[in-house]
Amino acid sequence: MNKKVCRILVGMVMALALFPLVASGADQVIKLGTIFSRTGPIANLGMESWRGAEMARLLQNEKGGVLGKKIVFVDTDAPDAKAAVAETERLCTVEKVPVILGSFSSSICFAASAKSEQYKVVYWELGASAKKITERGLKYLFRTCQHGDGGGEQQLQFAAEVLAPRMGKNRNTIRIASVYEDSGYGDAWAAGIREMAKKMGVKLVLDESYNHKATDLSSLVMRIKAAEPDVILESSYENDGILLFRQIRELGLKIKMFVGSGGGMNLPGYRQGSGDGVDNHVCNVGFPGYNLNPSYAKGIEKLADLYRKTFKQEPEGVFSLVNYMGAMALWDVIKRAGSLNSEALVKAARETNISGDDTILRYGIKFAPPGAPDMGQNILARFFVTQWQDGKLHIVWPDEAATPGRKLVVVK
Amino acid sequence: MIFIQILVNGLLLGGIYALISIGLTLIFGVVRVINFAHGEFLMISMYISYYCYSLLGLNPYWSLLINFPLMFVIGMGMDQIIIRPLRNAPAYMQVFATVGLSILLINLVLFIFTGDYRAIDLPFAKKVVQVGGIYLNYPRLIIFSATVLITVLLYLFLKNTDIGKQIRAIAQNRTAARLMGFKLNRIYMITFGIGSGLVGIAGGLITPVYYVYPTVGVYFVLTAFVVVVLGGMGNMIGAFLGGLIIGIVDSLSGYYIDPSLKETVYYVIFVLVLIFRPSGLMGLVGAEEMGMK
Amino acid sequence: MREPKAYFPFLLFLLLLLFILLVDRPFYLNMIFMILLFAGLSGAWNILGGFGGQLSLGHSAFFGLGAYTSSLLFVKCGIPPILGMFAGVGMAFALAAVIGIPCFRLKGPFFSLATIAIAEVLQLLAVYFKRITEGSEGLSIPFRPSLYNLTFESRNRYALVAYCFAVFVLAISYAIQRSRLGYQLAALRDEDQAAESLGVNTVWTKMAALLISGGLTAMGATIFSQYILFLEPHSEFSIDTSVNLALISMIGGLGTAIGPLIGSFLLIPLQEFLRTWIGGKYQGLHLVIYGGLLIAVVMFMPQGIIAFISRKYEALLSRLPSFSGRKAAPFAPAPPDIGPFFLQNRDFPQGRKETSKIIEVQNLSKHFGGLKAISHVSFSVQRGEILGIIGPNGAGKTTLFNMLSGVYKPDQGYVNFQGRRISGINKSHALCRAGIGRTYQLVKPFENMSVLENVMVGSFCHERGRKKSMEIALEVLNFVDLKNKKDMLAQEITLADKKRLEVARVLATRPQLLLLDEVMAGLTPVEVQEATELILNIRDYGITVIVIEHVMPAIMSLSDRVLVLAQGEKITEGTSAEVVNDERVIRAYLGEGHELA
Repeated sequence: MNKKVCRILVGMVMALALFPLVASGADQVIKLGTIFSRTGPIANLGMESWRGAEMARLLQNEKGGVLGKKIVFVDTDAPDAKAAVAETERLCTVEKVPVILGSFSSSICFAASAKSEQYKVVYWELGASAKKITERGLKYLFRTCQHGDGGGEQQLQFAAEVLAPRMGKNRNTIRIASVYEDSGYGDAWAAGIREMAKKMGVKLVLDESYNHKATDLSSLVMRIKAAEPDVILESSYENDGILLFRQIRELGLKIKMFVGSGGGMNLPGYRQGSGDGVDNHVCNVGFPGYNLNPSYAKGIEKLADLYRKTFKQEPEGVFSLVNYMGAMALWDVIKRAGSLNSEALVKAARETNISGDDTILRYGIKFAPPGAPDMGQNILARFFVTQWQDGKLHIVWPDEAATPGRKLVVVK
Repeated sequence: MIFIQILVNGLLLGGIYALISIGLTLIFGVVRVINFAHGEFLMISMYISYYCYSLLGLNPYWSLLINFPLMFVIGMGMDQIIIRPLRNAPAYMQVFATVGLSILLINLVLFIFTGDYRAIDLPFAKKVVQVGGIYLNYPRLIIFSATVLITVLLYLFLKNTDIGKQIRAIAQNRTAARLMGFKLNRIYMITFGIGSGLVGIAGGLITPVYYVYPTVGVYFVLTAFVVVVLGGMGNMIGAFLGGLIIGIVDSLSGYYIDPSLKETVYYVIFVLVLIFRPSGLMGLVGAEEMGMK
Repeated sequence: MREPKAYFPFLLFLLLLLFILLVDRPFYLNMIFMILLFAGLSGAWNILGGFGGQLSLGHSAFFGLGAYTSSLLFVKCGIPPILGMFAGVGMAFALAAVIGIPCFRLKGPFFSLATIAIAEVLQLLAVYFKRITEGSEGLSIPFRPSLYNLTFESRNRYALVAYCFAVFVLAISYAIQRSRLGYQLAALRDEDQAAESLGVNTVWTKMAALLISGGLTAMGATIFSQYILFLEPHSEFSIDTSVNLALISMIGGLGTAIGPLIGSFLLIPLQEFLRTWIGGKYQGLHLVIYGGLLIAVVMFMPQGIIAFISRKYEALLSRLPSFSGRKAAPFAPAPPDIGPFFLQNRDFPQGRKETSKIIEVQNLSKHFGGLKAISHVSFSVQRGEILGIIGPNGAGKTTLFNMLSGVYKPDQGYVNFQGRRISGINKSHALCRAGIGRTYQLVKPFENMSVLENVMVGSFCHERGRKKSMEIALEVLNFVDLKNKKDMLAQEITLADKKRLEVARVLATRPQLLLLDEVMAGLTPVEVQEATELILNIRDYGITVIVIEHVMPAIMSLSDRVLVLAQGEKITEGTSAEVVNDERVIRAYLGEGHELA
């Protein structure tokens, strides 16, 4: 029995070892790589992000693909940075893709893009939030979405300039607390909040981080209670977001407004888990979902249908849209480059100047030029403000983007 | 006032930790295996509760009647299929088998149910009771009471029933127990079953409080081990007290020191307990050595 | 170098080196890099875990510490990683020093749990002190290829560095395995109390293993950081890494030097291929398979792959040509009956009893809770005599031995050995080195070592070198008549031989005083006779012996004097004839009413 099992195992390993030698050689397609976390603790967020890129691919292929060829993805799973590096190596040296799309997770992006840079492969970041990603002077890295630091700044601005007056206060009297989970995501947004607070002269009554794996946040809630904030600016994933919301309620703390940063607080699971107490109280500065006003985001309904058809579930998440938009921009870059040569792609990318009228999220795409401290970052990117109302997440700001019939509700 | 609230929070939290750890201390104390898949049993039972609720409309407190027997059977199965063939192998083999099982279970659930978070939104779960300015949350109160009840019942079971006595005997000296004619394998299987069933109850009770996703067990399992060691392996009352202590430490250090350092505090306590009193609060001194050979 | 046993592995390594230098495909080179790096890291873990039996599941503490130390020094102070690596090793040493001594008191799963907790604490601290470590945002390491930065454009160079690391760790593992440290580790892994009684300072030995293990892990971590160029606490201090390191050694073959390499060649490609083949398509399926395979391997190959392939390997070797031209030289010639070793031990000529007291016990008492195990016992033993201790079961005889050999501290009274107070010392290894050796009632051979190796643990008590240690061990084996079984595993020999082994082992530590605890239990009359002769021979070489026995004829003929214990108290002492007729002794053994009328 032992020997048989051994032989099977050894045979399997050997078979697997020969796998990369069996090359797939079709020339009629363009192979691009994708890196997302399909397993591990943020698996659902990684998958949701991937869906955006996938939809962009499907739609473009309907139009005949790019450069006359259909686009094919080589999808990989990177639950952590180590795997990201390994997969990047594989994509660059075995699959020899000209571009890699990814990643949602900042740590994966950090690791993978450093590697792809060595291979002179373009890394097209669609959704990761750490500001430092584009502060490394990497030539082949481009990020189409807004980073968390900018998001944090927006969070504070929103609270101090939009919410405060509607709550009968001003930027000096409004009590703002910043609470964030302690991984790269929360860190980035909180840093943005802090910087903007300093710039605007707004004082934070609380600035606390917590471990997102914690099974209990009651001590954090007690600290929040002691600070007596009017508004909580929060960066949480889904599970800790739910936990925090529930425990705030359980301990009798009444917070009028939350402004989340779209990590987990804009997911349907958050609403389901936290209950209807969320409605009208929780806003999010972050990526928008599919309930954008169709007259503002042209084609959004068709996209939602495609989502339903392809993935057989309701498009309730928010990450796929921004990933979709970024990927669509990539097709434009490839078209203008006229080839898959890295230098041509980089040149075309640098020349990108897509107007906000032509994108689904209505902000443009233009990358900071070489020499700028944030080279490769889309400087026109910005976030939207959404709010939970009647069980659904609606876009409430900017006004023209808002879901028809919806506007910001502020609880006084 | 704040202090009392923090203390109460800690106690209620401790009830949760204790409930999760009781099953583990029974298994650890008797079968002497570090079961890395313990958190996954919790997770599976939470999924059971969730689907009973969403597919059958069954209130999680009623579905406990399903959780317990189902997890009991699963636990016995795990013991017979995986642990039993390795009983005489070096201890680390059992540990790695449970690690493999943990990986398998997490990803099996991920594969079948995807990683989306699911939560039960019970109106009942939001009810808060105020006693003299202190906020108490209903489901947590229920968990706390359930923990007390289960601890007492288990204690009586171990003390007074035949099987209970056999379990305790084996925990203290398996060689002697075998020489006395106890059928060790059967007892181990039953113990694993009971321990898993208890985790099943824990999962069912905490589903209204938490949320369900494949890696939820990972967050609880290390704390459970801390509680088990603190309380004394194999000791029910110890697990109960240990859970409460850890809950209070969590709550106090989170508030007075720093929310992001509270886990550090109890891991440090854990290491200190291991060094200075490895038998835990209630264990017999030297008990951690007995039955190791 | 002419035997296939020697040159074949050398050829394999050479082939691997050539592969690394010549192959151009980055995919394979990266795989080799990972395989060799983890072979080295796991080999480092194996020194503590496999050789020493201390299963650490928190080695990522050393890994993360090494990675962050060298990387922070590089990023923030500009110190090249090749130097920063040593700083990392230094930090690892510091960590080992802090956690080692307290944690080594823990056995089995408790030790593992403690190591897990320590790694978790370090992870949490790394996140918390983000001003130093950049916390969860992660630390980006700039790509500046150079040898000093251990960063390269070419994959071949990375693989070469990993190769050197793996070979380095392998060499150290082999060296340890053959050295005093290795023998002592193997001994304490199997039976740590017996090891202590043979002079092994288990705490320091484990500490040495931990220092080496942690230091090497930190070195590998630096190499890794300069490859991946991005650090974050959740990855570097992760429990998955710790488990992986242990797993690789376990799959390959725990406790062997080559095991980690084999395990790494199997596990790393498996993990990678599963993920690349299936991971991109389905969520989690590849890990389901991985988990299942893990369980299967653990259940069907608990000794690791090495047990399976070593037979095939031996078969392969036997078919390869040997270049030595003749059969391998026979092992060392049989030593003469009287060797130089025993002469060294002797201060006195054969058989003459000197009047100096070798050991003096005064008013010794020990209780456990309410039980008075030993109560006000006093006696002394002359150098060169054989003292027998008899008494019914439960009389406290073994407890007395335990107090004489440093296992227990007495609650009252004292023990003097050769004029020095020893009753305060409760470290049996120290007493062993001072000259007190003991055997155990239930034999505790080091099961997984050969007979010769068992005895060598004893001779390593005073010897540092392997060659001398082996010589002494062979002489002793010859003395106890076990020489022809020297290569058999200790678990394979008969009980009588195990008892011989027990005696041989302790003789190799060159005791002045030998405590034999029921060494004749379970022996046939013929074996008893042989044992008696052996003990007399031992005494003839000037070693004082105290024997606990139940086998009356033996002890009566053996002992110069006899001491009788019952219920913790000394009833009487005297010559065998005196004692056997003493009414109190008869009453104690046989109960009332059996006295000679």
